[in-house]
Formats: sequence, C-alpha cells, structure tokens
Amino acid sequence: MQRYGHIDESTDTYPLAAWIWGHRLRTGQHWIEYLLEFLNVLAGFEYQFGQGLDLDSPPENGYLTHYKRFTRLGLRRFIFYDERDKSTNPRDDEATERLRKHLVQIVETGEHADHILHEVRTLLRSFSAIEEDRSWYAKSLFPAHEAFLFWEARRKQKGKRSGKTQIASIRIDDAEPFELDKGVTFTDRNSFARGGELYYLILSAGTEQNPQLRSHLADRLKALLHTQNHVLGTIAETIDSTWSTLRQDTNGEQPHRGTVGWIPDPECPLYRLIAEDLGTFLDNHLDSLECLDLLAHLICFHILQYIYHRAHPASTTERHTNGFCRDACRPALLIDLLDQRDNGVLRAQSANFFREQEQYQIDRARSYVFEQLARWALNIPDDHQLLDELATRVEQHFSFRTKQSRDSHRQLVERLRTKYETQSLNQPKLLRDYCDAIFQNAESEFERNFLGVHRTLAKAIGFVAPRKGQNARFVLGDNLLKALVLANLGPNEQMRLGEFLERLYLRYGLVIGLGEASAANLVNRLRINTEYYERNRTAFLNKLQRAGLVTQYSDATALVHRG
Amino acid sequence: MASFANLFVSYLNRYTTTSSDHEAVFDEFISQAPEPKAGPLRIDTTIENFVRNRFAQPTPPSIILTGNAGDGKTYLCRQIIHAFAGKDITSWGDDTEFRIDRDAIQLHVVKDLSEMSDTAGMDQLHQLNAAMIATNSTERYLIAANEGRLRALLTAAHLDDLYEAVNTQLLQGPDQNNQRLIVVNLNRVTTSSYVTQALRWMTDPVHWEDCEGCPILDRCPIRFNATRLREEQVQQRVTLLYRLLEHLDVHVTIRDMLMHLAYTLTGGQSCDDLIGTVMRSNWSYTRTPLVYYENVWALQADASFRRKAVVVQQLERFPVGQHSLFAVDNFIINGHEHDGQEAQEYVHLFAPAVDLGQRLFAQDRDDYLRGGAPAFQNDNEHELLKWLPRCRRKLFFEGNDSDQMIRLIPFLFLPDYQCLLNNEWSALERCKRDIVLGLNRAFAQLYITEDDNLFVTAQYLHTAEQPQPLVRLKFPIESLWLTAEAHQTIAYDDDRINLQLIIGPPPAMYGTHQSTEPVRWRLNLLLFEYLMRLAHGGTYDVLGDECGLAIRQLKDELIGRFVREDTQEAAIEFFVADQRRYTVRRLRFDSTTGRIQG
Repeated sequence: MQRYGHIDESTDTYPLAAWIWGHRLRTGQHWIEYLLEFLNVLAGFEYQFGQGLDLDSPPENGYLTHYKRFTRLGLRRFIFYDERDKSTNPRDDEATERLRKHLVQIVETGEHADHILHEVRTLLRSFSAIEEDRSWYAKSLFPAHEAFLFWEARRKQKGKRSGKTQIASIRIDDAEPFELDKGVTFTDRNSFARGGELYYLILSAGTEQNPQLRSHLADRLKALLHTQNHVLGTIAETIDSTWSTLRQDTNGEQPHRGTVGWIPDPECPLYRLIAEDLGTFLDNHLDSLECLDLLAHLICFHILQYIYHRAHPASTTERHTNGFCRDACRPALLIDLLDQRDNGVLRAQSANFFREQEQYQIDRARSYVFEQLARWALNIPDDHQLLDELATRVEQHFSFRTKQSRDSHRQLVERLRTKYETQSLNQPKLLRDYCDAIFQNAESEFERNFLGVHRTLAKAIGFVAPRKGQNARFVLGDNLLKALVLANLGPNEQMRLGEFLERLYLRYGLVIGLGEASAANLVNRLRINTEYYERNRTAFLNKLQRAGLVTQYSDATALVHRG
Repeated sequence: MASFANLFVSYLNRYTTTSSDHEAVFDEFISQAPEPKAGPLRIDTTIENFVRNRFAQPTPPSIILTGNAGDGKTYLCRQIIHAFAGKDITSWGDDTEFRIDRDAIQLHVVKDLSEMSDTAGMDQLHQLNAAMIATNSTERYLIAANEGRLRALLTAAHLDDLYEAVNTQLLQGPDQNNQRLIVVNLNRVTTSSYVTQALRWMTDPVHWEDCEGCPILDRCPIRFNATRLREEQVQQRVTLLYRLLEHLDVHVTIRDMLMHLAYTLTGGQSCDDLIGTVMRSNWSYTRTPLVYYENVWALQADASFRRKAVVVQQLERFPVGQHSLFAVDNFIINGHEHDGQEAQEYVHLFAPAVDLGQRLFAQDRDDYLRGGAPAFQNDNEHELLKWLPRCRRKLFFEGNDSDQMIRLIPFLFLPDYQCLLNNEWSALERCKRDIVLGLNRAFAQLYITEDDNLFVTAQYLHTAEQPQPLVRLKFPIESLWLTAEAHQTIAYDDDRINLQLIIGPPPAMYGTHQSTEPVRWRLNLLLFEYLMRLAHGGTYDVLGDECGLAIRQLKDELIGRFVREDTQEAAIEFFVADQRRYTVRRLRFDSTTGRIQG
C-alpha cells in the first residue's frame, strides 16, 4: 500500500486502525478540534498545501518540511488563566501578573484600564471553543482570526509539589520571563490527535493534479482567517506580542515545529471529491464565523465519509488506485427525515444502517489482521518457526501501547504454542486462531480509541441523532444540510431536486428518496413500502423549502440553490 | 327495506376517491358520471375568461399554461374547445392535441406536454416557436404543461429565445398584453377564491331534493352538513382556513380543494351504508362523527385518505379545538344560563341537532353541572369534556363572535397579522418594532431588549462561555419598512396579500459605491408568528425547526449585501451582559498609538 505524508523511517509500528484509516484518528479529539488542528497546520505551513511530505527535500522553492506550532502563551494565559483554573501554578501566576502590568500600558490611560482589559478578556473568552473543563493550556479559541490559533500545550506536572515550593520561595520573583514559560510543552497529542492533519493531507492528495484548486483553497482559507475579524485579530496579536517582547528569548530556543502523519492510497478519488467540495463551499459570502462553523461541520462529515469509504467490505488498495472505489465502496446511509411520523419504520431501518457501518469497521479491522498474517506466513517456509516469526512481525507492525497489552500478546502466543504442540499443524487454522486472538487483544484498544470516532463526530454535526441514548440513526441537521448545499452548488447554480438527491447518493451514499433507495438496492433488500421513501423525500423537500434553499415549480419540479 | 340513495352523494364521493387511477385522470373520471341535477360544477375563474378573451381577438396570442397536477389545466383546455369548437370532450382518449379552425386562425390545443414523447413534445415547441417568429403565421397554440417538463424540453430543443421569453414571464408574472405569447403559471392562483363557489354548488338545495322520503332524513349527518355548509358564514370560515394555508405558502390545487370539500360534506360515506348504520343502532344519539366540522380535519378518516388529502395534512397546522380558551369553554358549558343576546345565540347554536346527538349534549352538560359527586365518581373523564373540542370547532364555524373565532386558531399573533395585511398604519409601526426585536433575539440568540436598531450579529455558537455576539450591521429602525402588497393581475385570481419587510442599506453605506438596493424579505404567517413570539418573550425552540434556517438565510443575505469586506474599520461592537440587560459595547484599536480604547 502506498502512503501519502511523512513516513517516519525509524519506526513502522502503528495501531491497527492507522493501517486502515491512516495516521491517525482518535476518539479523544473533539469535533471542533478537527477544524482547529487543520487550520493550525495549514497556517503553520504558511497556507500551502502539499508541504511536509519529504523531510529531506532541500529548502528551496519555499518548500516547508515542518509546520510551525503557534504557542501564543501570552494570549492564552491572559484569556484563560486565573485563580479558578484547574491547575494553578506559581509560574503562571507570576507570568500573568507581569503581563497584566504591561498590558495596562497598551490600553487607554486612566482608571478605565482595568475595566477595558476585563472587557477585552471576556470578549476573547467568549470564543472559547472547548466545552469541557480543562486546564488553561489545553483550552482553545474558535479561530475567528489567525491570531486565535495556537497548538495544544501541556504544563509538565511532574514533581509538582516540591517544584512549587522551590520556585515560589527562591526564584520566582526575579526569574526571567522565559523561565516562567519553562515546563510547557507542545508535543502532546491529546486534543490534536492528527485528525486535522489528516484532513490537510486529504486535501493535499486531492489537489495533487489540480494546482488551481489547491491555491483557491489556500487563498480562501487564508482570507477567512484574516479579512472579517481583523480588529479582534489585532487586539489578540497586541496582547500576545506584549508577552513575547517581554520574554525576549535570549537562549535561542528552537521554534516549535511539527511533522504530519500519513494517509493510505493517495490516488483515491474520494480525496479529490473532498477537495472539490471544499472549493465550492468556500466560494461564499457568509459571515466568517458562520462559515467557519459550517466548515467544522463539513470537515467532520468528510472525515466520516473517509472512515465509511475505507471500511466498506469492497475497499481494496487496487480499487482506491484505479478509481473503481467510488462505486464499489459507496456506503448506504439511509436518512430518516420522518422523525416518527411513520411510526418509526424508517427510524428503525436507519438505525440498522448505522450499526452496519460500525460492524463494517470492525470487520475491516479483523480482515486486515488476517490478510497481514496470511501474507507473512507465505514468506515463512519453516513451519516450526511460523508462530515465533509471526509473533515478531506482529509486534513490529502493530503498536502495543501498554506493557499490559504486550504481555497479553505474549501470553496468547504461548497458549497457541501449547495448543499446536499437541496436534499436527494446520496452517490456515492456526492463522485463524491467531488472528482471532490478536483481534480480541487489540479489540478493546480499537474500540476505545477508534470506533468511537464516527459516533462522536456524526452526533456532533447532526448527522446522527439522538445525541445521547440508544438507537442512533442517520438524520440531517440544519447546519449539516446547509454545509452540504454550499459544498455542492456554486453561488448562482441551481439543480433539480431529483438531481440533487442523486448527487447526494452518488457522492456520499445518502439515501433519501425512492430513486436512491433503488439505486442502493434497498427496495429489494428492506422490503418496506416504497411510500416511505416518497414521504421521506417530501420531508426533505419541506426542510429545504423552509430554509429557503429551494424554489418549487409545478409538479414537483423543485430547484435547489443556495437561497 | 328498499334501499334509498341520493345519487348526488355518490357523485360527490367520486371526488374523494383516492386511488391512483383517479388522480391521473381526475377530470375525466368525474365527468363520466351522469350529470347531477343542478348541472356539473362550473367554477367561474378569471383565467378562463382571460384565455377566452384572448382567443376571441382577431389575432390572438399563443398561451402556455403551467401548473401542478390538479390546477385545472386540462379542464381549461376542455372549456376552450367547448367554447370555440362547440365540442364536449369527455374523454381525450389517446389524443393529446385538438385543432380548432376559427376564421383564418388554426388554434392547436395541446392538453399536456408531459404525456407526449420527448420528440413529439419538442416538435410542438418548435412549431410554436416557428409560429411566433413568422410575421403572418395563422397558427396559434394553447399548451398545458408542467413547468419542469416545459423547461427541460425547451432546453433539449435548444429553443433559447423561447426559453428566455417563458422564463421571464414565469418569474415576473404573465405579460398580459403580449401579442405573441403569454405564459400563465396556475401555481400562483389562490384557490381560496373558489371555496365559496364550490360549496354553493355542493349544497345547492336542488341536489338535496332527493333526500325527501329518506328514512333517516332528520338523523343524517350528511344532510346536516349540507344545511350548515350552505350558510354564508360557515363558507367564509372554511375560506379563511384556505386563506391561512396560502399565508403559509401552501398552494392548494383545485383538485385537492374539491377532494377536501366533498369529504367535508360526506365524510366519505355512501347513503346505503349510512342508512344501514343509523337504522341498526341508536347511533344518532351519540357524539356523531362525520359532522362537517370534524370532517374538515378528517378526524375520523383512515390513514390512507389522510395521506392523499393534501389539505387535511396542511390543516394540521391549525388544530382548532385542541386548546382551551376560557371564554369559549365557559360559553359552551354555562352559556345557556346567561341573559340576552348571548343566551339567544346559545339556544340557536346548541338546540338539539344531529351533531349534538340530539339532546345528548344537553344531558351531559346538565349532568356535569348538576349531577353532583356521582357524575365524577369513575376515573374516566366526564362525558362533557369529550364534547368540548368538537363544540369549540363548532363555534369556530358557527359562532358569531369573530374575534373569539380567530383566537381558536393557535397562532397567537394572527389578529396582528390580519391588521398588517389591511395596511393599518398603527399596526405597521408597532409590529415593525416587535419584528426588529424578534430578529435581534433570533440573530443573537440572546434576550436582547434593544428595539431602536436592528442588529445583525455573529457569534461562535458553541462557545463554552457567555456568548458576546459581534455586531456586524446596525440598521436604525427608520431604515426598515413593513408593507403589505397585493399582486393582482387580470390573468388569474390571486387574492393573496404578501407581507414584506424591507431593509434599506445601513447608514454606514451611504455615499459608497456599493449596491444600495434594499433587501426585501417576505414574511409569511409562520415567520411572523415566530418573530412576534420571540419579541414577546417566547423561546427559540417553538417553531424554531421551521423558521431557524429562514432567519439565517436573511442574515446571510444582509451580510452578503451590506457588509464591506475591505473595511478598514478599527472598532468593534458587541453585546455584553450588563446587570439586567444586554448592552452594546465598543472597543477600538488605534493603529497610530497601538492602544486599545474603550
């Protein structure tokens, strides 16, 4: 399998999910953090796609091997740090205090200064992007402006107690400002688990043959982060630069940089489709905040498409390379727009399709393990060595992150050994047993860290309802619907409803009306009354109509447009 | 017992049949039945007169009719053939075209472009085009088509000029004086204009003469319905419901209307069945279903009828009778004890009749009022309470008090809306302020109290903190107008008045080169209700599903039209929570001094 991105030569050990869905997606990443990380990476590459693939490339032509990680410690302390913070630290207390003293000088003189600073702070804070209760360094801002972008950070808490007293009593008062920033690292990947990087790579791969689209995307995204909220941006920059001026980094600290992960099968047409979508989408005159919000929805929708596409039983490298995957790996996602008005018939069916997608991911992971074992086994001529050789390769290939998982892998190898010592060797059976055992071992990791991704994202963007509780099914929330219309219809474009529905099916596998249901062969498969699809379609039309996204002509000739 | 039937009832029931065959050839299906006593239904429409007049001219134009299935395109074609060729076409058979020679003119009537093959359809359009281009052609066309099909065929036939001509008239309305081509879209006809006519015909006493001698004459709900629906006030209130649908932008076709009105009258029952039921039991002394005010909402109909009956589905928006109004309920229960006029009305309304189970209602009422404890002993709801919803509906149609009647419709601000449609100045000013307030709240998703300006705000919607919406645009209330506009035309009946909110460019744009065309936003009843409710303290979720996206659409449009991208504005305005209300704050960045100012 060909990979696209930066391949680390020193190690080729990755979690199971990464081998199928690229390096990498993880459940812990918040839906909005896909947008944040993506924009951080893009801005860190100075708004150029296709960078960071080849680290050995000479730095000519402005090619960038690493992206810059924005730290903006001054800004984020100013906004998020106070005595109520989850993890207070004397260094941060001190740094915040010193920054405030200097900031008073950049606001209008007089007794209002504190008041104005307070107002600035609450205003900036209202862009707080993460709902969870986190420490100040792990919080982030919704990117109303480039100056609001910064990379995930962490303050090392090791030996916190002793460090605290030591610093507090001895050094803190006369410490240099840069020393106060010590212990803050930018290398963790909890919230920025690489999902945004993956999106960056998808767009890069999707525009390899289309430089025009590539620069269109870059230009529009850059404009989005600069044009409308420039006053906010300037204020944020002023605050942050007050701290960096104060810091005057004399130790020649290296700038913080990062490298991208990788995605599989760079030729896959899905990447081009995603880039196309985004190109059309960005061609709008929406308010920038609205646009960014919809962009976050679109990104997550694309990531879901990517997961489902690669989880499809027909997904093979060959198909992704020769382009047949568009038809072969199209998911069938039956959308329920009737919302119980049909006594839950479509709802129940749609819920089945959601479970089916989940099962596909599990099956895909399992078959990947089996295919790998079978391939390795072919090259191991000596039956006596088979199990040991396989075990070595397994450990080289799949990362077992904890000692516990490594140990349990060894145990299961031992168990297999005992089992096969007593009976004659049956290679296929051994492979199957081994595969089952590995998968059982990896399953909990796979379920915990990967399988939740599609669930979390789909619920967050209104593609799956309810947000909490049983019987998740596919729906189309208002924001998502709007994002999809913008991604499929240019500014003055119109499309007949039938065509639009067909397009949603062909591009994303969304099944709404009867036409799509027969194309996806659901009519025969589900054997529910075809009238349900008709009503579903009418419900969709009504939804568009209320949103002003459709002009209805006679006899069900409705034209979809942006409104 | 010999069977007894009024043939007109079965004639009416032909309208309510819901098989798919029936839908496809409705017009023919109806006209094949023996003609009823007072003649078949003839609805006098402006469009028919218009088309006739045009074709009666020495050099008539060609006319294209577009519209939904059921808007009466085929019917109209038949009437034209009848008028100019003197022929009644009850069945078209396989012919889709009919030629009339009149003086030196050949008039081709094409009843439906959709029933032709692609080539035949394109052929027709080419001929029409040729006739229009030629200076002295004597060929004229009357073509009925659905719009989608028409557009598709015009495109496929590469008739670009004709397409443009058609498109212009479809967008801007018919060009009445055009000598060559007039395009009329029947979709724009307000069907409410015909409700009274249709009901008058259905309840014409001549049709009901045959009932004399019927064994259940005095106990028959259908006959009861015919009597009540004959009353002018009841007809007006049915019309009102249709008007309201039009204010929700629902277009009802004539076919849907006829299906609904016929059902309202007969409840889908045949004489035979009904006589059987009534004779066999003491059915007439119960809460009779099938009375017209229940049938309007098809409360007793089976699911398959409800699904096909478009009007019934849409009327679910106006569930009259489901909520209680003190004044109304009090009248129903205690009205007979009042004095004077009210008591008179009560006696008139609640005298024993078919719909009240004769005396059953009065008995239940008396039991409720005077029955003492035993009346409430079992856990079941008291019988009187079951009467309430239907009595409210009854009052909706039969009560004299029109203010009360309006309040039975669960749109709280309907009276205001009606004032606006009448262009009442004071209402326009007052409601404008409420609309501004409602929009401010809808945009900012905060309980804003400011109503002197319209604020178009933007914010990060998923913020974890107190949101502080940024002000993108600010319009003083003087730059907004509410207007009610009618779109009457001589070509067809369009009685609808549209309410529009016109938003002029904000002062910041005066004197710039950018477009200063105002934004015109059509405010239908639903949006109006939503915004008024917000302005009066309602929450965002009520009607939010239906209105949320439309409000955002307006915001997008305002921002797209009036926000300047290249602005060098150095200040920013935003809402903050200030003690008990939200106020606008301002921050400035002075680039010369590099300082932030409050």
